[in-house]
Formats: sequence, structure tokens, C-alpha cells
Amino acid sequence: MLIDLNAVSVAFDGKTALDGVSVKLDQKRIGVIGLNGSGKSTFARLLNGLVTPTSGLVTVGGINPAKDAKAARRQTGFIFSNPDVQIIMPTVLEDVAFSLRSSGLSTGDIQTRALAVLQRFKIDHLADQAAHSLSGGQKQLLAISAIVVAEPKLIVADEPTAMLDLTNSRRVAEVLLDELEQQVVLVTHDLNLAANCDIILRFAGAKLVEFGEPAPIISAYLAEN
Amino acid sequence: MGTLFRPGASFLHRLPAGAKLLALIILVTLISIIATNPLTGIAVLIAILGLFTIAFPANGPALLAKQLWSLKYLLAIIVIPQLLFGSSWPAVAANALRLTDAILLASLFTMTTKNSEMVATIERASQPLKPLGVKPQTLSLAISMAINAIPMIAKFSAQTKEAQLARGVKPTAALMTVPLLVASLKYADDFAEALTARGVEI
Repeated sequence: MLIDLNAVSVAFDGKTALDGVSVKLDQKRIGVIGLNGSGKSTFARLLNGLVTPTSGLVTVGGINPAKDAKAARRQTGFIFSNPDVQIIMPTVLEDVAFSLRSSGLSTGDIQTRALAVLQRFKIDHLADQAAHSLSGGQKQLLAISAIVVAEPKLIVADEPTAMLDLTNSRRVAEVLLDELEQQVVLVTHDLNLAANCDIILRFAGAKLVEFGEPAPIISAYLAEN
Repeated sequence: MGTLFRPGASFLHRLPAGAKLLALIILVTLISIIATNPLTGIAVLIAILGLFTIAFPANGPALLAKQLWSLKYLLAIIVIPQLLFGSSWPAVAANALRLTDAILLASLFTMTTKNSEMVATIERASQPLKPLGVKPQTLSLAISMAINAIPMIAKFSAQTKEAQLARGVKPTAALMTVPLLVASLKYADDFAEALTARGVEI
């Protein structure tokens, strides 16, 4: 799916968060790196309309998220760094099933599909547990399940491993980079994760300073910071 | 914590949520009418103990005891002023027992009913209110979110307390209020963004 940004700028309260970004991306695994406040999260939020451009045009799979946020959100799932804020329903199965509430499926079919996704990520044994009682890694896998069950074409993950320990971080990375068939935009500070992407975008000072093969960009980033 | 539902295979678990809700409304109404003396209140309490045991054969009485203990402050607030204003012991006991019985029955309902079933029932039951501007889906979602917010607020409270202890400060209600409020507002903000990202339109 083509992600197309054409001279996109974003400003909040007069402060530039993204400055004249133009890029076309159709790679399957897209890594986004940069220091805090560099514009990478703003870039991620543009893709499903959580942020709208002050100027310029964003299209994702031909949809302009600023114009048709509903269609953009059907097409693009979003995973946040804090899994706690993503939990809407009290139990694990209910939370995944919630994503299908407007699908037109019967309650039985919704339960079956939700359970199948939990099985896929090996957390089906937690189906009836209170979602808030899970570990950080399990919560993040739940958040991924809740997104995947709705079958989006693109998944945007904004620092999904930031709050996880090494084991959980590896598991979440494995799911996002190896197991999902969807296109993934991965915003991360973990350069090992970024190194496994097909392409990397590096942001600095609200600008997209470079994009391309991971290895040279990571080297340049490390040398500069 | 996070959900009040406790899994089980009893007939109370299997009963449709709508039937249970209707039974709850009828029983609470009956209790408020007929349990006018302490003996009736105690008899109802024993019957509720039986229901808890049926619903949770392994630990029903213990669960009931836990629920009763959690009511201690509420009961104190109800009982003490009545005694201070000169109500008789039997009348005060009957009032306290009526309230206790009603709350325990409501707890039994929530403990044997999955949140999704409860929400679906509330959504169905509120359909007739649509002409009055009530959105059933929004109402049921709000209830789910309220249930969900309880463990989060508890977590913020524990974190705030821990942070204050770590700095050598004894946590008090006055010291806890501002950090707890800030954490809750931040959570509300992030949660709203996550809701939007998941396509929820309220």
C-alpha cells in the first residue's frame, strides 16, 4: 500500500512538529527513528488521522486521513507505547471482540474470530482474565490482537516496546516484524529493531533528514548523537 | 481487579443476563417492601449465602464475607447517624440489613455476569430511551469504560503513594490529590486518543 506525503507540515500552537515532509513508501517494514520531539510520532499519527496536516497532503492507500478519518482508521491500526491506555473493555476476549462491534458479524462469529486471534498470539488462555491484570508484554500482545482482528492493511506502532522488558520486547518485535502479514510502520528508539526493517526514516528537528537502507542511516544517527 | 465477573459453571452463570437483571430488580423491590424487621433481613441474608454457595461452590461463603467486609464504611455511615438521631435498634438493623441484602444481590449479579453480557443487556434495555436522545451504544460503552477505569485509578493511587514514600513523605489524602488528578487526566487524554485510533465515535 502506498503511503504518500507531499510537502506535509504540522504545527501545534505555533510550534512546528513536522516541517515540509515529502516521501513515498510502499515497503512492508518501515522503521522510523529520531530523538524525542523530532517529529516521528507526529508522522505516525498523520497516517490514521490522529493528527491532520497544517499544510500539504497525506494519502495512505489512496485515502486522505484528514478528509476521511473513518476509512483511514478502518485501514490503519495504531498501537501506542502504553498498552494500558489501549484497553477499552474489562476482559481480554471482550477487548478484542470490541474491535468488531461494527462489523455486522453475529456475536458468535465475533467471539470465534476474537478467540482465533488470541490463539494466534498464544494468549488465548487469558481470554477471560481482567485485561488490566496482565503483564506489560501480554497487554501489548492484547493491543496487537485487538488491532489485527479488524484486519487493517497497515499497522502503525509508536514505540510499542518502550515499556517492556527484554523478553516481552523481543516477543512483540517478533510479532510486528516477522509474523504480521500487514505493512508495518514502526516508530522506535530500539536501533536493533529498526535495523530489521526494509527501510528507515530518520527525523531530526521536525524534518525528515534521510531515508533508505537501515545500516548507513543507523550509523549516521549514532555518529551524530 | 479490573472485572467483577468471576468465571464459573453454575446455573446462575448460565442464566441470561436480562433474566438476572429482571430478577435482581424484583428481589430488591421485594426486600425493600417486606424486610421491615431484622429477622426477615437475616433470613434473606442466609438465602443470599445459599445463592453465593451455589454460584461459587469452592469459596462462596468466603466471597460473601469479603463483600460484607467491603461494606463496613458504608454501613457505618448509614447506621451511626440513625442511632444518633434516636432511631430504635431494630429499625436501624432492619435498614442496614435491607441495604446489605440489596448490595449483595447486586454483587452476585455482577460476579456471575460477563461484562459483555451486562453491557449488551443494558444496551437492549435502553433502546426505548432512544427518542429521548439516549444513545444505547454510548451508554453501554460508558459503563464499560467506567468499570475499566477503576483498576487504573487504583494503580495511579498505588504509584503515587509509593513515590511519596520513596521521597520520605507520609502519603495523605491532601498530598495524593494533585498527582492522582494529574495522572488521571493524562490517562483520560491518552485513552481518548486510543479510542479515536480504534474508530470509536461517541
